Amino acid sequence: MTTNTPLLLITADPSHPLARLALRYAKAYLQSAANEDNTNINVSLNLFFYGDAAHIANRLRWQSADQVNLTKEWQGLAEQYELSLPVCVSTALSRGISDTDNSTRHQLDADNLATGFTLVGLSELAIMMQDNRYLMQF
Amino acid sequence: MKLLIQLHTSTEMASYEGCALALTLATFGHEVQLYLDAPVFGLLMQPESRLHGMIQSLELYDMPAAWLPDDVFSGWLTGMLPIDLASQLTLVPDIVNSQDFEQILRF
Repeated sequence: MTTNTPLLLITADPSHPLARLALRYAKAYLQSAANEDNTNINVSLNLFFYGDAAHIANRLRWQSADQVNLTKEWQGLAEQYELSLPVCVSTALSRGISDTDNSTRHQLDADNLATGFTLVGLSELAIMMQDNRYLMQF
Repeated sequence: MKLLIQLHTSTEMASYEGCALALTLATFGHEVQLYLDAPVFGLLMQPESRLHGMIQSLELYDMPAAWLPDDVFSGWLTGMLPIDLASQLTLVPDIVNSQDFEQILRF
């Protein structure tokens, strides 16, 4: 049996249309669930950023003002609905995205993980999938 | 969860990350079938590539042989690869029902 809360596996680069589609889906799902619930307390959505989607967690990624800032959009959504924003640590590090702990561990000069995102092992995704959640890849 | 993971991207990193996900999920008891499309054949043929090593070890993860497209190029590829790697590959069945998988992931 599949549990109700979907799991979004986001793998698309932030410049790919699917990356924006994932955000649109998440917003629509959460808004719809909140309307049914009348509060945000029981509304949840599982997310996992993998591969090129790790770029979304880079706080130093600059883009022009006329583009949607996916990093800020996800941060806002996570704050509003108390969502976790887990990013696969190995795919993040291989793209130059690191938090303080990993920068210390790997002797890197600095860290650049955006606030709200966390670096986790790939096993976290496997555990999330143990519940037979409805999985969608973007 | 029963998954089909398709590797289509010819970069070393994308193929590695797709295959790493497959092996990790298999370790956690998920049923994972890999499909290797022609763009990753070049990486498979490089003994130093991570994809080459991971496909060699599919059996250790209790994973079935990875599927290849059913065409002449796949036959040529398996003839060129070392036996231990070729034994972990097989042609995709004539009929694949996508409904057999709960999700199909693409890298």
